[in-house]
Amino acid sequence: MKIFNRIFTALVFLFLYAPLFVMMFFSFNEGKSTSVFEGFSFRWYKELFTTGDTMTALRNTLVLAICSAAIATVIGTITAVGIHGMKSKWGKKVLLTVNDIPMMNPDIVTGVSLMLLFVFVGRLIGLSNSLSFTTLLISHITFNIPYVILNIMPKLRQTDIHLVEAAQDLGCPPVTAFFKVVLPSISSGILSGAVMAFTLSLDDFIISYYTVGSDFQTLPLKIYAMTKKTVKPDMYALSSLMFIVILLLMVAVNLVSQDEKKKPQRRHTFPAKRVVAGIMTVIVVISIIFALTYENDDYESQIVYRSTYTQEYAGTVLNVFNWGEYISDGSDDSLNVNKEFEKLTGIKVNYTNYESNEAMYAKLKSDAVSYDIIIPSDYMIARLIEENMLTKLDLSKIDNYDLIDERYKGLYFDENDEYSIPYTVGLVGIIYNTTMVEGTPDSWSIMWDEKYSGQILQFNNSRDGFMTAQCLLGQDLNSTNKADWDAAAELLKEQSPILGARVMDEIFNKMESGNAAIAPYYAGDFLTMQEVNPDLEFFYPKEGTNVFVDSVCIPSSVQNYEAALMYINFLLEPEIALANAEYICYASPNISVVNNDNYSLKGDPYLYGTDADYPTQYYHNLDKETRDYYEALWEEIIRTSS
Amino acid sequence: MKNNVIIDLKNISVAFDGETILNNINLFIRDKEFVTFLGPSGCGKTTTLRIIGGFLQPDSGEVIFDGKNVLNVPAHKREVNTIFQRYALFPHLNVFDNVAFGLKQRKVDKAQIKETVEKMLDLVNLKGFEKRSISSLSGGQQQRVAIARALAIKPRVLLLDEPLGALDLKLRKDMQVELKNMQQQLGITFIYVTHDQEEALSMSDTIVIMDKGKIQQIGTPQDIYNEPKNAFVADFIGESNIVDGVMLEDFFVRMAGHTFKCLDKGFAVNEQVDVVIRPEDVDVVEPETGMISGQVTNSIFKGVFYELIVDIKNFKWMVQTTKHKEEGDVIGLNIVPDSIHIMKKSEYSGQFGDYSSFSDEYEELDNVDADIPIESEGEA
Repeated sequence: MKIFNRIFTALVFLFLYAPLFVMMFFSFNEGKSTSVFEGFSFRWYKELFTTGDTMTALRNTLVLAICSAAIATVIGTITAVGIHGMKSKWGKKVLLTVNDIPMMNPDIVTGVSLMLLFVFVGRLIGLSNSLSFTTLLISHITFNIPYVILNIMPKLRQTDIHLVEAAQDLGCPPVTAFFKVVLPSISSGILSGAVMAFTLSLDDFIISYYTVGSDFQTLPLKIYAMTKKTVKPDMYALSSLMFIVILLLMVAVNLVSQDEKKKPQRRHTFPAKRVVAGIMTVIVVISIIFALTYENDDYESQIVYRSTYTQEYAGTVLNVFNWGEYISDGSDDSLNVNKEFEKLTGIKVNYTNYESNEAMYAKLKSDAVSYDIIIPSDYMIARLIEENMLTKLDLSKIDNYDLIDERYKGLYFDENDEYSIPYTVGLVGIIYNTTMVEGTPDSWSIMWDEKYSGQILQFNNSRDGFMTAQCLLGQDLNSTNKADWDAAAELLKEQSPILGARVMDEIFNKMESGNAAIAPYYAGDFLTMQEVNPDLEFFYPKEGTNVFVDSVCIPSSVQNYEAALMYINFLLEPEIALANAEYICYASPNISVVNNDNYSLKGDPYLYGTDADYPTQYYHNLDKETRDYYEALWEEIIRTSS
Repeated sequence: MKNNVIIDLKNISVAFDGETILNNINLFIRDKEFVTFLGPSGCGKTTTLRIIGGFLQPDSGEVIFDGKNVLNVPAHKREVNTIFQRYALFPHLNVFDNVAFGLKQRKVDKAQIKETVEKMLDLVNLKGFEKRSISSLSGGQQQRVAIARALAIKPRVLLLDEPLGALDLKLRKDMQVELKNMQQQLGITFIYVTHDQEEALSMSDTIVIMDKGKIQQIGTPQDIYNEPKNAFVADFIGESNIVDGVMLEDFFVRMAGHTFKCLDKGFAVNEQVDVVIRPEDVDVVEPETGMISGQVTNSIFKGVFYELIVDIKNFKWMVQTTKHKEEGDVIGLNIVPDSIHIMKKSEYSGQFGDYSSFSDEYEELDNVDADIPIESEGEA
């Protein structure tokens, strides 16, 4: 029985800590893969400290956590003392219950309601940017206060009500008595409240997601936005470091409070535990200070620019809202594009990320934040134009516009090139593992080949999922004919039994580790996977495929239009566009990049194969009726397959 | 009489939520006196103490300290110090720092603090405990630290709120003696709050008996015991048989069907009075020779004496005697004039002094109740 107990306990802890250890293990991976360990290295730790972006997000997170924890602790302590001092027992009970409710409340409710409040108040006092760092800070303080109170109340209850009187009796004025006597006796509660507030603020995602403005991004938000591509391993390194720092902090707090319980006979002998706790606290404080003050400034620019950039808008702020992992950020000895722009123009770039077109749309639509630059996809641009949410671009200020390949001008969503400038181009093709697939496939039909039953991956979103069947059937991807969608749905249902899984991001893991043989995905991402697993190959199906363009736009809520134009022109600079193309790995619509001999992907058959071989189709913004129709079909497919 | 008065309470009244806690209290306390406020829980004794300490403002009345009204002087500026019911020692400070707290607050220089603290710890027999943490001390030791802490700043008056309530019996007795000695040695006025009449009798110079927010009697322990003013005082201090009587004329009272000689006078002819006879003042004799007679309904051996409950004309008396009597025995009782104390009728008449519902069990239960320290919150 005893052995059984021990095994059970061990299993529980294994279950709790295994993910963390796996993450820490992979933070030392030489390669990028999250499934194949390619050797031990500190590469990602080095990367972490050389990438300005991550450190900025970390610093933001820490500043937010420290400020909100400090303010919440002060307010919470005062409130707790106030509640404790109340004469009415009934009132006390009511207040404590009221205090408990926000903690029970789902974060999403707290987040949405706070956002509504901020937007409402912002409108009342006429702010164009009702969401900002301030609102984020207020939200964090708000959700932290109840936890601080919760930690302090029991300590107050344990405190002898006569302590204050005793201190006054001995000559302390009431306020001094509070600081000299009450505060020390509840200090452990205050400390644990502050630590709890700090950690809660540190890892909050949901509430921040709704209340953050355009000028600020915390680490959780940044990591979440990385889901368009994969979470980069330097995040494992960072998470590992944070885990260790928090572990140290917790151990230190526990050692101190344990010490306090034991009440040593002699206070002045400094037991070993206190020393250890002290050392740990010092380590934690030093690492926080390090993170806060870290500047990676050993960086000299030798770039020659086509256009001239003035300091005319120096000191102004530019809010850029982009996909996660969608700009060269200085990692892997790449160019830090935003920092380069800041140095060149003196304009401060606030760079924040989103994870999907729809998330970006929702944020923009809330009217609570204003962005100067966004980079949506084709169909979303069509929708934004339709809803008057974009500002026309003054092309006379964008000298480098002539670098855009003629093929990417006059695209369907912006026929007169008034609103958007192409940033990246991508095509969906099929990735396959040469050790598992025979011959050289050339058709979507391979995804219906029963030979590979269980090893085929399919998109886990409706539009892309339908696309695979629509292409095989030779349909128009933007058909409004219900019969077309019915036929595609039929085909997808047929496919269900032989599918390994419907996935998005996990494609990277599954293909890199050889867990699946066939998967449709973007050419650029295939290159990333092939780096890890050289057995992978890629082809564009002969029936045709989906092409997407992500373009730079200026939303109608722009605050710094001139600087935004300057930024767009800057993104088109040959050196900058090259750095981005190398970093993002998607095809570039910039001819200076495509023709650059230094471009490692120059003429890459996967990225730059001519579209003569296969017809390509864009997604259009479909009408609601069609959208609802195919969504319903998709749900049925999912339901019947499980 | 009033020449060395240190504290004078004038017409003090307090009410909470419409309930009267103190009703027109008038009291003066002399310098270097050991005064005890004695009464059942809720009688207002702790409230009075808190008013003197400055922790509570009365609704009306004045607190004169050394000739000056100190009602507007906050607690931390009054020259009185309190020892709280549960000591209220500072848990985050060690013994030395606890005792030194008041001195540090007064910016006394370090050497002086060290000297004073050591002297105080010596006084309370806690030498060598300087570095100990409060939680490592026993209840008695904590009590001593509280005393040392209060005495370190040399208060003119020390207020003690049931300071021995949390200690066990043996320790309590020892501390009673020590506290009394300390008070005499240091020459400080002690105002002591307790519900334990024995403690009050053995320590005090003056006892103030309180009930229902009023002072019932002020006097020396002997006065209070021998000449209680009303049935409440007579019952609260020691055991008493309180019998209805009629004052026939000066020096003659009739009760229990017999006319007794007594030493009291100044009552109207045939005035209804309460007659107090202490159980130990009754002589047990043969039925034929007694002034009155009755039947023993209960007999308990108490060691030095037997405690008898005797039914005399349906009124149950308590009698303490060295003579052995059994339940059912008929005995005679004699009472000499000196043992009879006559009181005017009061609101308490008829409520006390009858032992018809008496049993040892009840008495013990009563004591248990009384030993639970009363939340001063509730009483205040």
